[in-house]
Amino acid sequence: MNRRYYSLIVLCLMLFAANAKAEIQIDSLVFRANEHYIDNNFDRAAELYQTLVDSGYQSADIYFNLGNAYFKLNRMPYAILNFERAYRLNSSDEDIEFNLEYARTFTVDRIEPLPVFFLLKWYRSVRRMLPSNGWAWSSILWIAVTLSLALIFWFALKPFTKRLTFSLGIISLVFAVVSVVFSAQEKENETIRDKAIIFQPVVTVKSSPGETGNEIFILHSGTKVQITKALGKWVEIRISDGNKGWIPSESIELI
Amino acid sequence: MQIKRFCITLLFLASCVNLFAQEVDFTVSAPSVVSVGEQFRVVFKLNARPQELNPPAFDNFYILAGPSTSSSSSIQIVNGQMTQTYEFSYTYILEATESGKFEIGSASATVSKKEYKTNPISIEVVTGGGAQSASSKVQQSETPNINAEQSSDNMFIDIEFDRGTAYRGQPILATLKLYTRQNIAGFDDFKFPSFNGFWSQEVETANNIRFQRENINGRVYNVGILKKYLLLPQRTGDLKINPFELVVLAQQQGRGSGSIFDDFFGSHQTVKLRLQSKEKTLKIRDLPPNAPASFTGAVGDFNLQASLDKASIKTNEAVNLKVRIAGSGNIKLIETPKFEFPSSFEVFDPKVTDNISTTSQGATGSKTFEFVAIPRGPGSFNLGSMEFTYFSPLKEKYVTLKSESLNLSVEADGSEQATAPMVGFGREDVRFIGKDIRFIKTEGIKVGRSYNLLFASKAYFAIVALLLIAFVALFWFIQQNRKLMDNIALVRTRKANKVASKRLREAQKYLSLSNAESFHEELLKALWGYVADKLSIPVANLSSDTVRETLEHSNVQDTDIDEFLRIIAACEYARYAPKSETSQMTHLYDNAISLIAKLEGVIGK
Repeated sequence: MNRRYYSLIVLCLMLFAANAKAEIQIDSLVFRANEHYIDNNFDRAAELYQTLVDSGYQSADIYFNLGNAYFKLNRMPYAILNFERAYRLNSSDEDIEFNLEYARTFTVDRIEPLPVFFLLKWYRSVRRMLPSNGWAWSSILWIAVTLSLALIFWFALKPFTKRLTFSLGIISLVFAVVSVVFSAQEKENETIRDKAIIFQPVVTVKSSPGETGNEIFILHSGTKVQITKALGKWVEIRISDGNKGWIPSESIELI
Repeated sequence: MQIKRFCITLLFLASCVNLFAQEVDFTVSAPSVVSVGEQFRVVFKLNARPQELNPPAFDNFYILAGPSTSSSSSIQIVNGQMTQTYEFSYTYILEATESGKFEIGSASATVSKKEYKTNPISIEVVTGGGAQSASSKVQQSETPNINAEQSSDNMFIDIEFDRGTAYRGQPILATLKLYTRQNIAGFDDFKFPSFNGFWSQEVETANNIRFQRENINGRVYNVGILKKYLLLPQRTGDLKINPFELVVLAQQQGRGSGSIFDDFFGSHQTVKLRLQSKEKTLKIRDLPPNAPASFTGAVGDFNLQASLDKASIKTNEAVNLKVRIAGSGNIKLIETPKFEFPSSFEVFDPKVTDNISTTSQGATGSKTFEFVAIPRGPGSFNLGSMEFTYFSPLKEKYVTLKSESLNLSVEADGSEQATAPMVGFGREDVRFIGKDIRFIKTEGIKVGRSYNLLFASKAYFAIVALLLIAFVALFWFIQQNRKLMDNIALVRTRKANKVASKRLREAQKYLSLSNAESFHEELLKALWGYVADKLSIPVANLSSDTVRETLEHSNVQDTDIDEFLRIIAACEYARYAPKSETSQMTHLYDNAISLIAKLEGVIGK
């Protein structure tokens, strides 16, 4: 019996150690990349960040730093792509938003976005305060609070306590529901990869997939598009002013 | 009366004498330039009647008419003062026959036995083209002898400068001139030149245009000055002066009708002529580079005066530094000279007044700067001297003027706040000088292999389920517990009566056996137990006080409570008493039974 416990503990420790070792490696890689960046060696910094990203590690901060390095190298589509990816993972960070906005001013296409109703804007800005996981934890917290208040309400003897716990319970229930909804919507935003950045310097947008389609308008690298359909090697895109068209899928990079 | 008349006569005579006593003026007027074959007038004017007049010989001219004499006199009485003017004119109409410069000698006239002479005049005769004008002044009534050809030869406009090159800021006088060989009925549209690169100011000229004759390339023109401008160059390099335009209503003799009357009366046609001047270029040199710090753009010739209005003041009183710059040059454009007051002085923006007159020589006058400063702290200050630097185009170098040293003594005025200098001056908004992206993240970077989303994952549902299970479990547990507690209390209450009667029966048994000690013990137990069970009082808390309190709470009458406590006290007493009567015990027993019955009636339900 004792021996079995021991082996379990040893196994756990070994796993932990391996994990820790990998973490140290990543940390040192990030540290070295940052050093290169600070020394204005943006080429090398971008390379290191990129290897991290390519090997499957994900972090808003890494994407942000990589975007910065590409920005300094004047590779705007790459910078915008990485800022967008960072923003997708952490839409509440002020620096990410600032750099993304600034990098966008270097793109050629000036597209007037469709106006957004102000209530919707408020709703989105509130939702964006926390990532999906944050809202998930918030929902768990509020569900727990609601249940506790329900218990107190049920067994309270004094009428005042009953009234207080009832109103508080309703409020926390509202919070719980809002958190659940926000978490679900943010999760959708964070998982669905339907936005892309144009990488080809000049792309002709056509009215139908294939070379024979009529040319509708021209987009330049760095512009953000939304993918609405895909057909073979062609994707239907929609730009922020509502215009749609088809472009070859190799001219874009998914965020 | 007699005397008065005499005086008036005397006065009249005196004024007559005055007439003759005034200076005799004998002048000649003739055009300075004429062309060959042109008719012109030579007029001798005398402001007195001559006894004799000898005209000079007109050797090189052909006398067409004359001498014709005319005279006019006028008497004016203003405020009883009588003035009489007399004009006598002697006119010849001459024609020039050959070109060259000829002199017309002086004419002599004798007035009051005194001989007066005109100055000799010289007339230049040029072989100008056929166009001629018989008048020295443009007069519409004159009949001009014009072979009018509508070309710019007969009329043009030009802009002249008093210097072709200048330093930046050095005044240049621009004169807009009209050259004409035709009669002019009027002007229609005047497009002024825009002096780009110059600060321009119009110089006052006479309202009506006076024409003078000039010889331009062998042709005679009447030249009139349209406008004068004083230009201050603001830029350097070759500055172009845009042409200006003028629409002239020129009078021309009618042509083509062939009527004899036309020739005779000379019918006039008014023709609109649009004239444009030529584009001109002025070369503006920049000022030498090594300008002293006190140079604020003054070019010309200046002098400086600087003085404080008071030599000693108290703190928080205003002192006035008056700086006066006078001279000629671009005085209007002089910027405020810099003057540094000590830091304990609060300085206000200077008040600038100027007194400048613009003439064709340039702008002259003075500019006064009044600096108002308020010392906030006491002390004796040497404010230094005022410096002013101007560029002298004549000397082609900078000249620095220095005022005498300014001294000011400031005494404390006694108020406390005076010593603290003003705070909050010099605050300004953050100025952005560039824009860049924000710096990379260096701390707290969390790197994950995959980004797990909690929402709607198994873990999430597990946590929520756990919460619900915990809730249900707690709910059930609390409810059961409460039920149990409720049951125990209920059973105790229900059984209280039974327990009490059982104990009372025991007591009755001891009563019949006359066992006083056991009887009292059982009676106490029965009473205590009944109250404790009935009112759910823990046995440990049983005391007469708690019982009284609880009974009062259960709406039991005070007499019954007293009765209860009296029986208890009696039992306690009798329990340890050596001997007790059976009748007493029986009485106590009956009382206990009736009391329990009574209590049962109140709290049993």
